[in-house]
Amino acid sequence: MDQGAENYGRYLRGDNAGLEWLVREYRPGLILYINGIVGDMYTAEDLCEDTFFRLIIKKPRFDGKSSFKTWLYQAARNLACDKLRHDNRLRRVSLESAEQEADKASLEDMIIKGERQKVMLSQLQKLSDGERELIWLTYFENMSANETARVTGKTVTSVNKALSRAREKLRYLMEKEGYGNENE
Amino acid sequence: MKTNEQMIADLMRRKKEYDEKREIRKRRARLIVAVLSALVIVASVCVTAIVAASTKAPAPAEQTTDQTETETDAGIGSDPTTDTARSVNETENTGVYAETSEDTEKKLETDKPDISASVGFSGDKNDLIQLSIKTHGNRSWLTDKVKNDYDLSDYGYNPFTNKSIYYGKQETGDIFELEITVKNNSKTKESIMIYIEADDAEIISENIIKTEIPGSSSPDDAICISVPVRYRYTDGRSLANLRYIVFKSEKAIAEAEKFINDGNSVFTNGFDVTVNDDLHGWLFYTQISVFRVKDASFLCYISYDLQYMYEMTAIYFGDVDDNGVPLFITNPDMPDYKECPWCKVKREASKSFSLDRCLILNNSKKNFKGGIIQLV
Repeated sequence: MDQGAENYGRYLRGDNAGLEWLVREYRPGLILYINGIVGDMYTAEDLCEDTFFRLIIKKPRFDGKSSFKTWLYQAARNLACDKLRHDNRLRRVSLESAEQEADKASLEDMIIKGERQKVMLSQLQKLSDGERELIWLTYFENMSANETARVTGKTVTSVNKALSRAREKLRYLMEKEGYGNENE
Repeated sequence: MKTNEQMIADLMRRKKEYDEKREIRKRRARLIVAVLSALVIVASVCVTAIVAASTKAPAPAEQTTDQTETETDAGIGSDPTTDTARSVNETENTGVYAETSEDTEKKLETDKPDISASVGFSGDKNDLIQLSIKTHGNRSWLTDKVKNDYDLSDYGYNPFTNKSIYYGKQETGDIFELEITVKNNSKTKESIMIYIEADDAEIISENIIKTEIPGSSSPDDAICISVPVRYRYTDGRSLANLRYIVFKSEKAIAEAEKFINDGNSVFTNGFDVTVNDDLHGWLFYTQISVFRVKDASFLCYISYDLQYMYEMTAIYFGDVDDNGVPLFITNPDMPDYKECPWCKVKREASKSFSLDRCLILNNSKKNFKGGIIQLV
């Protein structure tokens, strides 16, 4: 049972509790994911809210071809990419403040499970944008290659190949930190 | 950074603001349309006056024919005003309170000299308006499984349509008033006829209510009309059954009205469902309309989800296994979906009542054997 779809349906039928459930369930991960794209926590938070806002205003039809989460992340990614295009990729100029770091850490605590994932997350910053996104969706959001491909708009084959490369790099980085194979 | 609750609150606030702005835009658009319509009418009157004035002057024989045609056109053009006025009267007579103005739309109907069109419907592809009922309490004729599975305990809905009906209820002395609200999200206006009858209650207002619902400018919005139904219990207690059905399309309305006026009953009386007095015993046929034509009873579901309809049908007639699971679960991908021997979905308008997208089943003997019923 896709609880996301179920709760979205509840909202469409006029029950705001459905929306509340969606926000509580997906907000932390979504902000962190968008932050990985735009590189700014506050912008990511705004985009996350905008994603939900579009959901409640436009009420787009969920076709059920993917999980609701995949669908939502895809929409959020599109928004984030639009934002980047609009801002002409100014994100690199933006520096994360200590406050942003604290907020990020607070959200990460909701998502990250165990020391190993924490180390993995810290090493993610050393990967490219694309690699970081794939690793995040796969290992932190537990999406399959199919779902990751749908969110990122790539083919499953290219996702698998890129993921394999990213995994190799991450394994190397993790080993340097004293962790073995990340699949272990 | 916001908390979940703050984000939810912000989302709700933004939605409210968005809705308010959209409402303002809608009103502005309606105003513009009204002004433009008025201009068109004024221009049409001016042209008519000029043409009429020109007919007074001596003219060659061939011009006389042209003038006659022009006069006819002008006569048609003036109809909308009359149309609107009569429609308002009819609406008042039936006790229907329209929430939105439909004057503008009517004024544009210059191609309809037939005034009775105000209570008819010109289109052919019509279906019954979706019934969706808000019930008091959690008792209804639906089984627990249906209520649980389809979340129908408090509020009946159909996610596959944008038309719905619900009601509110209040009482003054021994007179009770039930308000049925009909929504229309489509762009075009819709004529409807609501037929209401009750057991153990006297319907004080009309049993047949005809009115129109204006079209909405945006597909996201619904235009509503509220139809008050006043009644008094006659059995000495607060228990009665109400049945109603909403017809639309000119043909369906006309035929159904005649059928009813001939003394025929629209509903079967075979429902052995009662609810507690504290819930006032109002029984509603929500997404299912039951009616009888000649000696055959029909169960009409309005849904775009055929599998859902099959399951509801099976549950309604008790065709369930020991666990309450309907025996007629039909997978739309399976070949027998379209060749179902015991059911038929009418996708085309019926010769008689317009029942597009309705599942029609024969239940005339209260013994569900199935069979395809053709309306005659």
